[in-house]
Amino acid sequence: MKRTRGVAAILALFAVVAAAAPSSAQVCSGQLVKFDPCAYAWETNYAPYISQAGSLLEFVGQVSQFCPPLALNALDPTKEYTFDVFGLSSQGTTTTVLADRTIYQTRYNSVGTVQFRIYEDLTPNIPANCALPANPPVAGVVPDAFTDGTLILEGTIARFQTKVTIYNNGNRSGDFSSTYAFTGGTLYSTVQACGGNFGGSWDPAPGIAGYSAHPNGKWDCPTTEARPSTWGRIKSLYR
Amino acid sequence: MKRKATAWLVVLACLAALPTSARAADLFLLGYNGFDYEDPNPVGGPLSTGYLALGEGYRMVGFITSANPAYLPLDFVNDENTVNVGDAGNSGDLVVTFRDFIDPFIVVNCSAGHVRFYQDPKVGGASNALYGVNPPNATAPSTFIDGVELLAGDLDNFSLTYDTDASDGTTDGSWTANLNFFEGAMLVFIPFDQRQGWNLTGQLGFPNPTIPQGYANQTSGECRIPDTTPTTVKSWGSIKKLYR
Repeated sequence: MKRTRGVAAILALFAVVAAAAPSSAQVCSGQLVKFDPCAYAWETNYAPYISQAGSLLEFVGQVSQFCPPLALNALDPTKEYTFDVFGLSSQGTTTTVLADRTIYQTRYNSVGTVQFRIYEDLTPNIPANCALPANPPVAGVVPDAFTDGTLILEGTIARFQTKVTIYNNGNRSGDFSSTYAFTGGTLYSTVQACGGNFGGSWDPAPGIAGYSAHPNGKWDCPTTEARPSTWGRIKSLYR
Repeated sequence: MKRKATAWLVVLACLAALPTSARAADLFLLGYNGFDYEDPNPVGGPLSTGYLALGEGYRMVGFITSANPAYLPLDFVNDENTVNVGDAGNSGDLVVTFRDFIDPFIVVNCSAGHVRFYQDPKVGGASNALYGVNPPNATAPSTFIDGVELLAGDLDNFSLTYDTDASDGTTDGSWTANLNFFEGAMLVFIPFDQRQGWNLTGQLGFPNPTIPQGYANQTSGECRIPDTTPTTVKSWGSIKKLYR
């Protein structure tokens, strides 16, 4: 029994390691925090694909990858890194109807002093496989399970907008874009110099009742490309 | 008796209206990030006329950032897992066949093409993937398409919508295509009836200091394959039987 458990533990560990995100400079390519399958958004006054003016947008998710200068392992099984984006008030959706597609564009005003928070939780508690309960908010789960633990980063978001394209052939696509700045959190000093784009894809049919979208995106931290050199070359610059 | 039946029907209707137990959305296959570019790219000028002009090709290279281990048991510690959209050297892949500019939107449709995912050991492999500048170049896409081909698929109905209005901070857009996997070392992990699906990505354009010189947009997206919604075909007779 012990042996079976041991093997299971090793297999589980292997699975976690196998799913661990890469962290080399090229893989990160200017991004700082990435999230992939586990992220869902909802609004207070939304029906596909129209957000009414004043509707409040919120989304929660789990971080899948951290990049330098953050030295964190997003898939450490003893921890849970989650985020909550909130305080985004819709300006209403504008619709552009074209021959083969319809474009829905929604801009949001930022409300409050911060619009996002990222947490490190030593007691993982979000639903397994990110199978979120329908019709958020759901007490104790959404957003609660994503907003417990240590607040490691928080900040502001500006010019948040989504664009959704519904094609006549049944396909769909979408993206969200904005800019952000860090303002606090226990790791603030590590990423103080970061800031820039916060964006990614925005699937308007997330498949769980009550949610308006499934985002997949990242917070960027643009890096300046470095080129290997020698002291001789550097000296020659000043001769 | 009639009242009882009505009550039952009301209860049934309420039950049907209730959300079912939590379930994951469409089946997640992988997430990726990268940068896209045009190849060939004979038409320059402003976005409104120069970005993905008729006859130009859509290309993207990048890295897989996460994967569903049941479908893609990847080793991120020891391997580079890369993505390439639009076959290098295949001038017919993802070529713009329709383009319109309806201010501020560029709308584009492309010919059919391919997406391929590769695995290459970080140490002792063919080469480390490098974006470089002004693609195609000496390292892109070549260093993204070496190693073992994990999965390859046909992309059909490729459509892109791009907002050229930068007053909100950046130009941005998204594309979608139907994706059918047909080969690759890890195709065996994907059940036969789940090899068809669709592929999404978000794009962030300029101004964006993260984008290497010569690339068009930063991309962040994922590949999902459709989940079948379980349904059971029932007759009125069998339903009535339940209450007799």
